[in-house]
Amino acid sequence: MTTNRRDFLTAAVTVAGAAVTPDLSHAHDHDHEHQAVPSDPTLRVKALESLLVEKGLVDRSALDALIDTYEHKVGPRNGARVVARAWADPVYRQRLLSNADAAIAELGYGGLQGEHMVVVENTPKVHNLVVCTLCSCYPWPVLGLPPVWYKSAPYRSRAVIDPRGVLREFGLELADDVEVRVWDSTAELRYLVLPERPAGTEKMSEEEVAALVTRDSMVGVGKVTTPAQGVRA
Amino acid sequence: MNGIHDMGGMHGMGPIKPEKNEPVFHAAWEGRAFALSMAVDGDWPYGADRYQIEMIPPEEYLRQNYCGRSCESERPRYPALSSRPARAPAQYESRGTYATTALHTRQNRDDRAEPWRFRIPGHQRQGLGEKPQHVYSVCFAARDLWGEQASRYDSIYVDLWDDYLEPA
Repeated sequence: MTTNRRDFLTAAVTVAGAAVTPDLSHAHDHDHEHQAVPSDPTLRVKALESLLVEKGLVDRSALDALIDTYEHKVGPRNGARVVARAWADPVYRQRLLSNADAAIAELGYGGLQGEHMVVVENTPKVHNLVVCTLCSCYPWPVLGLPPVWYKSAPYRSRAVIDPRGVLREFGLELADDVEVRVWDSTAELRYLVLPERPAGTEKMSEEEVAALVTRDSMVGVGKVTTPAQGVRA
Repeated sequence: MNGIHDMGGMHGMGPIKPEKNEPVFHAAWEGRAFALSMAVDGDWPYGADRYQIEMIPPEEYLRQNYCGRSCESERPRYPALSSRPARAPAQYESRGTYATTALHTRQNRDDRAEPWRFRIPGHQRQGLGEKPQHVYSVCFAARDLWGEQASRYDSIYVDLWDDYLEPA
């Protein structure tokens, strides 16, 4: 047997072609429809990456560094430190509310999707909730990349029309006379909620209270609770 | 235009499903796609990728998850936006009554055509294409948007560019 690889492949393709496509016009239809079927994202992204690397537009080590940064270095712990500082230092809190970019930069955070920050403060009578109805704008430097629910149609559609229902779904029931302010990030401003400091944490250190601050509380779909309060709830 | 991405106030999208201990990326390709979009982003005109996502056909937009849509946006099929620093002075003062006007992909469908109160002074921001302009944080009473079903205590703050507003 001396069939080389090329001959073998030609034969295989011919046989397969004969089995599914009796004539050329059908073969064309088949190709056309096949292209409308979405490709596996893994393959597609891999192909895109290879192409961009091959053309010298992207460096693979830069991609690895970006993934590592957003998986391990940028996230809601950053925002929690900002919140804890604001709770500990009334002067910092004022700076944070009047010029959030500069105040957040004092703690070393800033950059992409956090270039123009606005911090909105919760009080016993005002509850703030952040959404992006048009896409998924989110303050990356202080909260990291948004969770799937924040980017999802259910949250984006309902946060503006039924904020209290949305909060209930997250386990947060507000009194009727609490003012709910929904912030829709439709342009380039990014919002961070400064939640209320829970009672009974006055003696805790800044680091200890920072550990209590959740991502949800800084988006406005939750409140900050102490472990004891958490058990009661 | 009424784009599928303009979801505020839509019904029937189902319950919100928060995921416990959610990973930043759910699959390796999501991380790679995200990193690619960041790594090649530098030379893109401002807002271009977002605009590409907004132009994805509705049925496809709903079918794909966020990372899939971002991936789709890497195929520039439509003219993109670009940016300049704002030069024109802000047109509106704080605390006036204005109507929202222009039809654009970054203006929500729910706040058009009625006069609304305008409370917060403008945040000076870059704007739209070759027409840089200011952006305002505009406050809407929830009842003005949604009627009596909304709480009289509630409000919605939307960031709107100069072109989306006009004196009422």
